[in-house]
Amino acid sequence: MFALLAFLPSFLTAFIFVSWLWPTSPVPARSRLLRCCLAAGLALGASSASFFLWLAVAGSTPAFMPVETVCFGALAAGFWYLGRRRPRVGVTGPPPGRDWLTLLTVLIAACSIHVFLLRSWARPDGGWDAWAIWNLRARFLFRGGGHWRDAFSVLLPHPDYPLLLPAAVARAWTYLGRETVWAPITIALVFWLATAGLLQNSLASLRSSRQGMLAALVYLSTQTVLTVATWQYADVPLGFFFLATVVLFLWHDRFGEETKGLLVLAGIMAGMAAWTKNEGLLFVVVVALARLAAMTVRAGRRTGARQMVAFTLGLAPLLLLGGGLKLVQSASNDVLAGQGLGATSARLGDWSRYGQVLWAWLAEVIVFGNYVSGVLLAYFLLVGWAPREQRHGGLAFCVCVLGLMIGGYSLVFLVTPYDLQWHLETALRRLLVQLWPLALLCIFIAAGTPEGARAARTPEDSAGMA
Amino acid sequence: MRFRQTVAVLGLVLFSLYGVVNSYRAAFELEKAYVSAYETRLTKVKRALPAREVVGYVTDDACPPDEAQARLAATRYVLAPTLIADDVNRRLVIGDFHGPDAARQRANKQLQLVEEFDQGVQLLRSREP
Repeated sequence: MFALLAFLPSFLTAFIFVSWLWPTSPVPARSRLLRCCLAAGLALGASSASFFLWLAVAGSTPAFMPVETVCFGALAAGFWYLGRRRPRVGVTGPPPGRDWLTLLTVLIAACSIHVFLLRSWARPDGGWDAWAIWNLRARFLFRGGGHWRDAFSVLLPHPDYPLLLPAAVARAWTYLGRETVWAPITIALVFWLATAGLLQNSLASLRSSRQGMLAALVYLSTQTVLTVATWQYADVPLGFFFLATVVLFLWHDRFGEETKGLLVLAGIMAGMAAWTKNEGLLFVVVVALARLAAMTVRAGRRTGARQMVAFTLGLAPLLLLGGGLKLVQSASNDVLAGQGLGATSARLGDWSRYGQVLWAWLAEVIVFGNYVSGVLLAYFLLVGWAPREQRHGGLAFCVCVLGLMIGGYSLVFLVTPYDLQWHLETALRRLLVQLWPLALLCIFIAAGTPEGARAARTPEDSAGMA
Repeated sequence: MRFRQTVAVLGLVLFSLYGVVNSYRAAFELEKAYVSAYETRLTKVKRALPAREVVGYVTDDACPPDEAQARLAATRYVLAPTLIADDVNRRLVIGDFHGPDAARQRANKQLQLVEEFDQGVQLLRSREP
């Protein structure tokens, strides 16, 4: 509980900031909950960035807490002042549902949170990567005092990894004045729940309330995701930022050119992904390329370029921060360090590796989350495609991002200097956890809504289903 | 809702319930991770370490590589912010022995016992720093 209080100043600032960028044109009901979910992830990212900046500029001093609180307070006041001058228009869209599916989703969410806490109680330090990488680095940042740069020593594993999680944990400990396992546990819980909330609310606005509930239901009950969340790995936070970026683009498409603030926010979320894990850098490239291509085809090169400017405006500060971190970190990435013209060409020319990677993806997708992909396929076959006009062209963009990410990850596997089988076995499941929210978004945008029976009978939809 | 859509929604709901039940079962079967045990195990040696010095690390020769990696990672986690190097070429070395042949391994690696703690944890000194 106290760990949550440590994030209150940054959360309030993030919420007011998100609300300031939020469209002033009619927006669907429950946008407050959606803004809360976005603000939760943004607050954790922003507070970890501020903690790192403070260390880099002022070192480990006790003045951090009051100075940061005053800065967040000033920012919040500024955004609130700017926001209150903008005209507000009432919300539109369906009111929040109170049917049996909503109640069941709430029940499953409560049970899943209980399981999360049971697992965290048994293993409060999380899984291997949590205590060997993320929380280890947090301990160096918190305990190291003036020697906090030891956190990037080459004697530690993966010294090139970004800092969102370690700095967020160390910052929470700094606020609390002591180390507690509940700080990383709370951060993991917040990201996991915020992802479910974001998924549910986005789909409720973009498609239908039931579609949103079903997606949240599947996400919360996917055992693999729940397990990785309790391990306190960076994959669930990364999945949150992937989803947030794509959803913000879809919202911009839905509500028009008036909502440029959402593109800036999408840039910030993509930057946060890069600040979370190195895979986030790949995502930045992928999402920018996919968006530019989609916009060039749909609305012309000029619109695509304009959108990229707004996106880059949000992205740039975090890329600069990441660049600053790379200056502090002396180590290079282990996969990149293992490349050379001869070795990489040999790996790329080995056709058996392509088959191995492809087969590993297929096998993992099938068994992931107790065969959830099979159940979703059956669901899809039963409800059919959504009517074309309900997909808003966003589906192609989502699928493009998802496909390019899988392609990018596959390329990394193809050129990995490690034993390929070992690398696939240790990494693939976590990569799927990162992509899972995005995959669910794609599936539930593409699938017909359960309440859309009448609409599905129209000729246009029948063609779509065929 | 039409029949097919009702079946689809019920299928997803039942699968979700199954997932939660499965998660409960797995949570109750979960054993304590041994990193928690390391917190207790290394408490005394932690107090004996100098404030800022890179310390070496050695564990049982017979330990499988994965297990040895896990022991080293747990030691680093507990002893942070002391930097632990995965070698014995340091002035001080932490011995993390679970087997009975700690004395023989010390002799083989030219290490001298400085202090012995509980459960096979030792602080060692390199004879030729």
